[in-house]
Amino acid sequence: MKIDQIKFKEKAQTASELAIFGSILIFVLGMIVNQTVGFSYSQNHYLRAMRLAMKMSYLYSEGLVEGSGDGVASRNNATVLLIEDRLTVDSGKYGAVDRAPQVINVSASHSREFFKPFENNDEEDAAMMDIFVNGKHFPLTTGRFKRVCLAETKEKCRYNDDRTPDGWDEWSPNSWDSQCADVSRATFAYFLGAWYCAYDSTPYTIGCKNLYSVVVNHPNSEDWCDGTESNPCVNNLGKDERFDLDRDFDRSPTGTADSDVPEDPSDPQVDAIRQQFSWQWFRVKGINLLETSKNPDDRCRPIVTLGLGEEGMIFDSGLKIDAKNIMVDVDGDLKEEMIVKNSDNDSNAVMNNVTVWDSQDGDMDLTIGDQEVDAQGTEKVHPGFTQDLAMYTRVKSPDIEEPGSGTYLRIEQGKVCKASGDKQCYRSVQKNDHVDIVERVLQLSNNTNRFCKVIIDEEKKEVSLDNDPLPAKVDGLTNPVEVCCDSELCEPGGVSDPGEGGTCFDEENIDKTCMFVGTWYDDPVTHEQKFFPPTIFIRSRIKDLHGRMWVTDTSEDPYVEFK
Amino acid sequence: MEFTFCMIVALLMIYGMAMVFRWTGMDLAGRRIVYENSLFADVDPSYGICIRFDLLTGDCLEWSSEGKEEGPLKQLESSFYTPAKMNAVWSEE
Repeated sequence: MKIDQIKFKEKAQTASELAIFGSILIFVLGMIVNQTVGFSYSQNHYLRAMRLAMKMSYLYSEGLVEGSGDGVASRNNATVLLIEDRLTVDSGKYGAVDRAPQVINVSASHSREFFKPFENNDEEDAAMMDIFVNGKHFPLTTGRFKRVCLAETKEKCRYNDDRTPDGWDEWSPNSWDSQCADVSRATFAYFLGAWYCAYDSTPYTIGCKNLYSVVVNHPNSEDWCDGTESNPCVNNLGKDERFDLDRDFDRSPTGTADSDVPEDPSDPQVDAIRQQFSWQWFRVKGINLLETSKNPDDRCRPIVTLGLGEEGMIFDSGLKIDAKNIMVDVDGDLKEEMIVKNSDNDSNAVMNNVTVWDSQDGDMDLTIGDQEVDAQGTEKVHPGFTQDLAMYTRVKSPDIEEPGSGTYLRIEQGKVCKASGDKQCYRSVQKNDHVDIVERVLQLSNNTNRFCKVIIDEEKKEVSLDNDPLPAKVDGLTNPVEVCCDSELCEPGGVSDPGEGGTCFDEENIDKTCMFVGTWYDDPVTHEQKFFPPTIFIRSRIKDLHGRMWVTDTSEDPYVEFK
Repeated sequence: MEFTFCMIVALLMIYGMAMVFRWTGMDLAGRRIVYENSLFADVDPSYGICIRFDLLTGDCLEWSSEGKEEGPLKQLESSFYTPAKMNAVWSEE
């Protein structure tokens, strides 16, 4: 009896070991397939993004895109952000249903236009950034040309539409220096058969604008000083003014510096902060020295003598003479702009207006740092994708009288949905959750009127859509934005409820890429009206072809109705 | 008898494992190989050349438009690879 029992156990052991081994092996194989498919997705995404960046750089450098002429420098260093929502690897009841974002940022360069000069109004040569979201292409600018008035008062500006920093009254009270420089005017005089420059015997004092540039806080920098005995800051800005990062000395009526980088010689740790700080302010006078007599091309120009330690700038429109001090803050935003044109200077070479390239005035301000605040202490709005991501699914209406109708429902995972207020819940337990729309929110820094045309009234603090606000093309490409909305209505598309206005979340617009053009709001800190920049709600309509491996028509099968 | 059955099953499992390893490696390696081969492939030397010059100014009056597609654009084609089929037992649709 015992021998028979032992034999029976040996036979059962082999089968049970095979079953355990087989299940473990299948599990491991499934994990291998899962991981490898993920690697394949990532590799494919990375290689496609690289090719796309190289292709973008090549197309624009060679002039193969509409509006790029014989080649432009906008994509000399093409930066591409590629986002795609791919199905995850899953083997559920209906196959893969979840989507995971594949995000990668790459850059590539084609050298054909590397040495093309960047001149005034060369919008097509300005650096651009390209974002691709599920096939939708968003070309974004990183700056803009603008003309800034440097005259003493607004009335003295040559052009009425010159930009000034957020209203003339807010221009820094200490920005105009009435004791800027001494000038000896020159006049042509004919003496003994030759023409000479005759200069005034007594020079007179002129005023000019104070501009500021950033210099390296290092002894090797020729414009550096630290206020010590060996390097006293007696000329140009004082030691505390150089480290007054928000330039309170420039804004306050008394001209008092509020040093933001502390100094304490008795405390080495505190003192080291200022020593190791990377930069400091340096003052530049708004005089183009190219138009004075100290330049090589002397044509009987005035002799302008600046104060000790003060510097002007040298800007040559023909780009033949090396420029100096052309990276200055002209609009009071505490960041430097690049001067690309200088015109309408007076006879003493005092600059009246300049055209600058402002890297903070494009679709995306990439110069904003973490926790950066504006001059009033309000934290700036950071451009780029926000953390908001939503998925919508379309549910067909069971109404037989209106076939094809339906509504979009937002998919939320996690806690059980609880209906509250206007929120309704719908739980699907039988059908595959068919994701139709993936929504992302792209925050812009400024409204450049490229995607939607608006009218901004800074006096009335209003922003509204222009006539025919939606351009068909942006930079030669189809406009990725499909609807423009302000705080009252949307165009095109109409309004679902004319009495209440249109939004990006109306039934007509929920499945379209919609741009909210921005609005004025009351700042809780300063209680001033500030402009909140525009936002693009990118809606990706993805056709879900997965979810089923075999489809069997069971509509004619008999069924049993249990009661 | 039972041993024979189990060995057959074990062989089938080993065959499946080998096919999975083959497929995963081929897809990853194949994509990389095709990517580099296409990127560094020779281009048509006549792509984008000028057909007619203005003899006075030296400017090009007519470019070879067909040739441009045979240049770097061919090397930078985005859909350069089709994922390898597993071909474990039956072909996929």
